[in-house]
Amino acid sequence: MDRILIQFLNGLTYGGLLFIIASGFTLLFGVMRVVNMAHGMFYILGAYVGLSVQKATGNWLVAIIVGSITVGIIAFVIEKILPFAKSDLSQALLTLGVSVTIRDLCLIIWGGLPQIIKEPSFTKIPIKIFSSNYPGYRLFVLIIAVFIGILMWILLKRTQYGRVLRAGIDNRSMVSALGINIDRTYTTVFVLAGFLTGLSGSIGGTYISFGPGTDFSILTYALVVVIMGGLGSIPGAALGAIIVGLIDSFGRTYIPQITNFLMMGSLIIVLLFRPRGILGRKES
Amino acid sequence: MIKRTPKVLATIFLIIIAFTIPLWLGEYWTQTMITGFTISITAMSFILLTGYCGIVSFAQMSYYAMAGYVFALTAKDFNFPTYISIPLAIIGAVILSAIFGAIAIRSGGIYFMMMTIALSQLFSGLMLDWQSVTHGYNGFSGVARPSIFGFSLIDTNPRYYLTLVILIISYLILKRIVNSPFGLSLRGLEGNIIRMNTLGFDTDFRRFFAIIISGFFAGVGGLLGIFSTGSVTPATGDLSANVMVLMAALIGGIYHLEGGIIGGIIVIFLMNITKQYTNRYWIVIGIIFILIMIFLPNGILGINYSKFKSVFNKKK
Repeated sequence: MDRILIQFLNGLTYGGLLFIIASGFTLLFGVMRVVNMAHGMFYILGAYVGLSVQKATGNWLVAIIVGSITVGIIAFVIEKILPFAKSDLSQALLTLGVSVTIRDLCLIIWGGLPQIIKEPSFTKIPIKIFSSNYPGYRLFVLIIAVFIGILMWILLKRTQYGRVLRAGIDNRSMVSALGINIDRTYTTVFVLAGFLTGLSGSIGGTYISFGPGTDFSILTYALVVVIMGGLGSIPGAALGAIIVGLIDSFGRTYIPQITNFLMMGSLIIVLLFRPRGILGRKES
Repeated sequence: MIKRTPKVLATIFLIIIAFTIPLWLGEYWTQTMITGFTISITAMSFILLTGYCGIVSFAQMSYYAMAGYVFALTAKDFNFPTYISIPLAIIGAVILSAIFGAIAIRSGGIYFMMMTIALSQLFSGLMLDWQSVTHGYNGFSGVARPSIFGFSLIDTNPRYYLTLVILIISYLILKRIVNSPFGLSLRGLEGNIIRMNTLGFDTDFRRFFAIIISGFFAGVGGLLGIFSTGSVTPATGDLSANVMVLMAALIGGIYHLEGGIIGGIIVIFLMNITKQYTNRYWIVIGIIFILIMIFLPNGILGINYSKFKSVFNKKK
């Protein structure tokens, strides 16, 4: 019974990380209809920069912040060159090209061995849950995820800015026609998504080792989460993240060899009943 | 008819050259050419979907890998005879494409693309994790080249001719499909799904069928691939491999099957040559990718040759 609960917590906390990763992706797609193939690259860039900053300063918090800001800046640059791509497909391809290039640059700078960022001392407290000591850091990640989720909810539902974004998800041309500066809004969303993903990279990179192949696996899980949960929906991303986290956790514990199969199967089952994802909505 | 003659002559010329390649290209480069051909076939299957149906599929190499895995598993581990392993491999690829296709037809263009990315990565991960069946990270290697109709495929030259012939046949079949009434209706799917439905075409079924056809040909490519290299690993069908097929289609030109042929050969040779100078070939590829997206979105076949013609006319 204990073991099941631990696995449940593992799944939940992993889901927390996945939510932060996926929310950036779903924001970009929902608001701007951009499929950011460089999403995984944002993650590992945040992780790698965080790693170097931590090695240089010894301070975890500084590392996280610098990592996130760096990715935000890269996102800004990418947003500026994005207009060169005229269609959905070419945008995805352009971001893919950037991703592949920067990924190889990371290989040159940081090498090919798996790396991990050192945990900050304030989370090194094991929390007693039933009879075992649960790593404090994982719960910390979950708390941050919930915090970010609440922040995003407030942003989207309670601010004028959020209303503009939500309107943009439903009907872009109308929003533009109403005279709102869509361009600046879009740039901000891009930077925000980049910052979030870089943050997830630094945070995730502290307890999950990362390396050159991580960007594709992160992209994969982000895609699965948002497809399951519903593109463009933040609650959907949360729901999808929890489901994927739990499947991953229980799957890898009890049937490690075919966890991917289980994941594929779950995706298929969800899509059979809800082709747009559980909380997905049809755009107008 | 007179206008077509230069094209026909050029094609015949190219085919003749293709058949003589093993004579003047060393064994290593002939082998490279074989791999190039397998990617060409897969690229054509990609172009069938992208250029003619408007569906972007990042899963073609998954079907390629599936065929390789099924062949390796049945021929090496289960010791099935060749004439059973080969059809099983193709069937495996088609089944996988049917599964991916069944999920995806309910979704529109970009959702389909994202789903194929996720599905192909998950499939590749499955090939990695399911060690008891797929031998994990190392996959299968040293799979014996079979003998077909008594011809041994151990040497490079017979394999080259087999692959070349199948490439040509695949091209002809795909060309026929694309120009058939069915194929023409596929092109209608790209922009006018609602209109097509109103006209009474079952768009879901047509798309599904197109995906299966693409799975078939990608499987053929994969089968020839494992004959050629003797190995298949989880990396054979992962996102990087699918990106390579995409590159091939883009370089050649996604709106024409011929682009797949050109693109496949170019990409393989490009990667091979770049690898000899630097380990950082992905950066080179990434940059070429970006440049093509910006400057040559229709690939080599899409270059506007009429511009050059006008230059010549002026000189007169």
